[in-house]
Amino acid sequence: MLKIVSGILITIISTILGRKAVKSHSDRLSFYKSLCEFNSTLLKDLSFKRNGVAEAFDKNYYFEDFNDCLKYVKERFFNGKETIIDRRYLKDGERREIEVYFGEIGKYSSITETDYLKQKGEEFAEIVKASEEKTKKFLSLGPKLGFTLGIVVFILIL
Amino acid sequence: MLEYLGDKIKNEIFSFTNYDNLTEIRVRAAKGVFISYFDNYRKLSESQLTYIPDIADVENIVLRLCNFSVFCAEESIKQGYITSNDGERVGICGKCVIGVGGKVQTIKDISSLVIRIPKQIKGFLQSFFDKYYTDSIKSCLVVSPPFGGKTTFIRELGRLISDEKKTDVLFVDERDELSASGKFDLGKNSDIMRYCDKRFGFYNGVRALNPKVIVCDELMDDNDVKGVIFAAASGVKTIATIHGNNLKDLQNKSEFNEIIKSGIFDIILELKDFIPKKVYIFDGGKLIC
Repeated sequence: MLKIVSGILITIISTILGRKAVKSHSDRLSFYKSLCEFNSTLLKDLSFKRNGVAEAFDKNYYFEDFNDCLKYVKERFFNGKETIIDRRYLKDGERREIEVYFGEIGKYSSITETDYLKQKGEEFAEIVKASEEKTKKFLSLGPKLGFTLGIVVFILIL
Repeated sequence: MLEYLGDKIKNEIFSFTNYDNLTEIRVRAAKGVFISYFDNYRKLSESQLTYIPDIADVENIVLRLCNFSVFCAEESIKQGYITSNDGERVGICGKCVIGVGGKVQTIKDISSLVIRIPKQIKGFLQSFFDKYYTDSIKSCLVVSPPFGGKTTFIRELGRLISDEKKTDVLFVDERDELSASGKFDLGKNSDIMRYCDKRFGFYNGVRALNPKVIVCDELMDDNDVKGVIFAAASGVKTIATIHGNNLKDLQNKSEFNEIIKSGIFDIILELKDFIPKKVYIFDGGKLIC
């Protein structure tokens, strides 16, 4: 009886872990999608009404964790402090690049700022595209692999 | 108020005086912060703070002034100033970057700032207004050297015309000093066009906003004069200011002598410390008193 209960628990935990392993991919994708939105908002605000960076910070974006991150970034940004991005689903190099991005916005003339935002927009869009393809593969695979592994362990226990 | 200066400078300033008594703040990197203010006896005093800012402090002040969006203040920086959210005009001094056509593209390596604190003094012109504006609304040109109170004068005169004569007044507020982003009361019947040049303000204002009076600060050149002439030809009175010591000064400058002779301004007054020292009344370009 104990073996059956353990086996079921292991299967459940394994499935959850499998799902969590994939979640980091989908979180990364969601973060970059929201960053694209943010960048796009900056570009639109700059091009026509010449609204400042503050307006883009005050909007709500697609991914809730991005909005939380943005609140922290906003507080640092408007106090002239460097931003530190700590999201684990982002790679080290990506965290640094995003920190640099938030350190650079708002510092230039309209022409230079527009060029910079357009360039960053293209880079972020590339990352989103590559991430979407990767996430599609892993999205269903993760829980399935986790479940399979759990069943194997279950069988071994039995 | 003065949040953009940062806590160290701001707190030390407020240990000397309060905001209402401040008239000017000069921030100079590696040299000091110098303030001018009215003391308890309404005498203009000057002091230097103990804090000595460095270049990074000045840069941070500029960034905060721009609300961390330099491109928002790009056009005003090209002209050598930034207007704060509270309407303080901050003159900036540094290295000019010359762009296409030999024009200043931006100012970098900013080393000093001159912050002028605008004032609204309601009621101080009531006797002047009662004496000269009871019968009719008149065009008025205010002449004074810097710090004479010209902007405060026309702000109040415009407000009185708007509220007491219930007349539509257009404020062409090139640097947002007249309205200070809505902080100052310019009257119930007033429209305010902010951050536009006078040419746009006059021509488009007359065509689209149908004012009876236009108020603007600092007539500088021929283009500004043409705007005033256009307004007058459209039946719109102008209240304006001009740098100069006295009327004779203006008469020696050809572009302004023409406008005086043209009879556009019914009143030309010489201002000192907010008070009209001499008031000249014109009728059709002829000085009558």
